[in-house]
Amino acid sequence: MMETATRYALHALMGLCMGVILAGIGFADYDELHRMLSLQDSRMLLSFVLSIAVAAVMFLLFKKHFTTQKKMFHPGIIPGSVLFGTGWAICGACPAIVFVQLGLGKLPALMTLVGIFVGVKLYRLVHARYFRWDTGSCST
Amino acid sequence: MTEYWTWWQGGLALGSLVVLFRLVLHRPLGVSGSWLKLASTREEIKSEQQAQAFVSDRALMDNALYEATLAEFGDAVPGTTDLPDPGSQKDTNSPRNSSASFGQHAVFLFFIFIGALLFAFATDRFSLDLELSQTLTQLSHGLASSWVYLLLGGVMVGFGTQMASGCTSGHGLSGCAQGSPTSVVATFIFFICAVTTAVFFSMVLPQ
Repeated sequence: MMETATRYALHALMGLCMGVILAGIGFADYDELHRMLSLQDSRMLLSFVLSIAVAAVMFLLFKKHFTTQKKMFHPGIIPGSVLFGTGWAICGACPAIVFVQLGLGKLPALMTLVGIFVGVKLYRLVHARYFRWDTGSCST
Repeated sequence: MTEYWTWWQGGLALGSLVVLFRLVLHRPLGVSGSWLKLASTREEIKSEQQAQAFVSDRALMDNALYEATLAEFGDAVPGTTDLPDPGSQKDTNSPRNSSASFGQHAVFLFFIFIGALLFAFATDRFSLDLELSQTLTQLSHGLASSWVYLLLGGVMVGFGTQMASGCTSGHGLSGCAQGSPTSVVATFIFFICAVTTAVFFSMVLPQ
């Protein structure tokens, strides 16, 4: 019981930190994102690259403490990434950013939220009906 | 223009969060997986209730384990005294122990919202807006049509991230930091597509 409550609290803490950091960097700002993606401003792109580098170095330094869980390649990776990248540039949000936009008071993000929900539901149906591959991730 | 953190402040903070998340919750940072749980609320709750009932009913569990053992080994079941005690092999970093419940995923997503809300109030940036951005309104030729753009973009993001098994956090941050070839390929593709779309938008944007 205590362990469960602690895990809930830790998830809340991680979510809280993520919301503050993403808002602080400016990932939820449509104009900032548009400037980054249209190669007019490199600040957020450098932040993104540095964060990967920082995490990679820490994972390497402390690899004893982490079990590597590499994602498997399946036929949905390429078409899914194409759809996601295009959609990201259109609505200015990825699955985490939509919550940050709402937290900043951007009401139109409700449409993005509904859209993502519909997209996830739709994929579940399409996958069960037509695709047979094992996606092997995002279940934890 | 709004003042944001410098690139190195943001990079250090976000990179540290990726590691801290892994260290504390024993699973890689990823938001599209949490969305999947959120979109399957009914199934997740039912599944958790069934699992709870299964675990609490000792006889049901013993029967299931016995049947599974027979199915795997037949009658030639090895002596159980040679088998290690499952309780002595507790590994808190194993995938089995790292799986989060539906409620924990929901709490994580809700607190991303709360974190941004607190940040907005603390930095005096909170304002209820019907317009996400003037750029988007110009692109879509009106406020109402910009909401349709957001809906369509959202569907593409939701469908695409599930199909690709990850998003900017799962593939981009966690996956690339761990050197996963799949994540590197996915991140390269979604960045190229996003850049192509944004550059195209910049070209058609009314001056």
